[in-house]
Amino acid sequence: MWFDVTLALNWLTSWARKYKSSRAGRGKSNSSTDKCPNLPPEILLAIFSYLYEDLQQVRDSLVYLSKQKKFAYGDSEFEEYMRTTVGRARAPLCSAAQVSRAWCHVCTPFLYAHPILVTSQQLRTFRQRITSSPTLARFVRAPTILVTSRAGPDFENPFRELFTQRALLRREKEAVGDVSIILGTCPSLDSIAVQLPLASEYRAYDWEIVQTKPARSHASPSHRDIPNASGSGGLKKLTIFRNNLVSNRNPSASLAGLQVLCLNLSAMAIPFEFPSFPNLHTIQIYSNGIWMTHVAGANYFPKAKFPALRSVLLHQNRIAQRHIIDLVSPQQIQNLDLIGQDEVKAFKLLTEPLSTNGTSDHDANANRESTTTTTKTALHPVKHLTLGNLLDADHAMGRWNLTETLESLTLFIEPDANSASLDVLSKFLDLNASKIRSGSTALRTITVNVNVGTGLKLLDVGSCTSERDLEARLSEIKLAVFNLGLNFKQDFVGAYLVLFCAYSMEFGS
Amino acid sequence: MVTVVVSDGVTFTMEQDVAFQCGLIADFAGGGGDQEEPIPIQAVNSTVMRKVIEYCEHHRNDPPQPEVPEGTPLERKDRRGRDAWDKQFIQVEQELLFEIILAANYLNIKPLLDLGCSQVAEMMKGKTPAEIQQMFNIVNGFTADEEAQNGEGEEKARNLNS
Repeated sequence: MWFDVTLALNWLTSWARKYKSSRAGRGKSNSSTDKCPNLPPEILLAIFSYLYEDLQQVRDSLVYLSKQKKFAYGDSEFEEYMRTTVGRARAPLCSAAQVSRAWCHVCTPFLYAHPILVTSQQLRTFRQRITSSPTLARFVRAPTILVTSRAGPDFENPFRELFTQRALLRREKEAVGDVSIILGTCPSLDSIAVQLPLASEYRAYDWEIVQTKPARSHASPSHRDIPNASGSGGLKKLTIFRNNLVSNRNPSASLAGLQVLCLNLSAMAIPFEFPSFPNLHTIQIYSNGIWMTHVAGANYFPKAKFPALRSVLLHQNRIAQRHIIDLVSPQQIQNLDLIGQDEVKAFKLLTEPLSTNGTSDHDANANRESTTTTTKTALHPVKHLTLGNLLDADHAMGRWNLTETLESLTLFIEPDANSASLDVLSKFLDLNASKIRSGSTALRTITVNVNVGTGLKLLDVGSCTSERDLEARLSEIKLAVFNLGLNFKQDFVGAYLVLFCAYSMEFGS
Repeated sequence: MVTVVVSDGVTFTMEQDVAFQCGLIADFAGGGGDQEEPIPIQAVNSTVMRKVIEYCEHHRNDPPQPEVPEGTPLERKDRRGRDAWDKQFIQVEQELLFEIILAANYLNIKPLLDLGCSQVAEMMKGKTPAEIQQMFNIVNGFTADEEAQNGEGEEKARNLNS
């Protein structure tokens, strides 16, 4: 996933050999090399890896912020922020690449492995660079493309014809074409995150936005020898931001090997049906608020389309409960994250006994609920379960008979929540104590995360009136968990809060 | 105890747990008991060796770093978790800093190498190519043709940054 050190070192070694022989052939050159210090390539590689890490942290932050609903379409301030932030983070590596030949050769793979492109112009320039140089194309592993329709200097002039719908469509088409060429040109590419300019917020795309297209007019003859992303096994991870998708056609063969699909603020036209992803093991759906309303009888996640699916991560969505059951129950899901979407109801449905056709029985009465020890539920095969925003009203947790397969349980609580929100966890532990002690379950770890920031609000834990109460209650839970022979972890989450605040202050939003 | 003799003939004697933080010395000694014969360290002088020993003595009780198999992709990890002492330790003259890095590389002391490299990376931030060349006393080895290409490259890099 990350920068391939072996690839870079092999390339450096061959380059160093060529460089030495070329210098030997020239005799004593007056173009001097590094006088002092004479650092070997492996040390330069270690030095530049620190600059590269800074760039990756910026990328992670931008990807996180792009998931937030706050940054709606055409938010030029956010685009400007991305452009300047990425430029600042990339500057040290760009400078290092221009210091000397030796430094340039060490820096180049870092600059091309995980490029971050945030304007149409950057996307075009990058496409031109990799199509004119097969060597550079080989370094590209996981581009992050966060471009929206209103970015770039063209849109600053209101008299330019680019404001017309026709021009918007042209720009959209160009961007889609650039991405297709990148997919078709980079043999080592295994992951891509895409937010493309749409001509309209209501424009729906097919999977064409990630179709592979070989570079033609721009390609040098040597490109013919390079297998494209589909030739080398295709994309393994695809992340899509804020793009509408329809599924009238199946995606190209380049997506056949897709293992991770991450949809952020994406909207799906109804009726919608996922194409088949035979190798997909993880699906992440974040902040999808307007799609998948319940249509009677519709199953948007048929099991046959995802035979290898094992992890489902649903964060801040408004997916109808019924479709969550469709997604989870027929599959052999091992990891399930359910955060920010009415977990109380969803959890209740997931712990209900499944009917014979594999769907949750909504009419199950209280008696049947109490006998779920031996009845298969949608949560039956889950090994790692994460539930967000545990509430004291969540009685389903308090009555949940632990499955044999669950190995870890992670819960989120708000720091200003009443400590009674942990009562359900106590009840759950009491109910299942004998089962845990006898070793008839796989449960090993319980984690309680105190949510100090979701990126949308700032909470000062120290100022919460209920803080001491909460601390005391957590200590009791910790003791109870330890007494059952389990591991207990407690953490504060909301790591991107600082960056978010910095952004808010910068733009006064 | 382990004894080493460095390039300028100075001999250093140190305890085993200090010496064995250097992978090279540990390999020389073979993990056995006290080493009677001084181990020759020809690539390091006494000034640098003193600094290396100072670092190893300070970190003698640190838990060992987990091994990362060679050839695996570079995972991002918090390698900058250095303490105040480390920050103070690495504030040295630039020439000595590079000698420490080279020594750490030669003696195979990964944490010291990381510390030195991260310090150099910090020094490079906010500098132009010319300033870096001046700071590190580097004259570029670009030919005239490459210089011309560099100009184009700079323009393209500017486009990528704009």
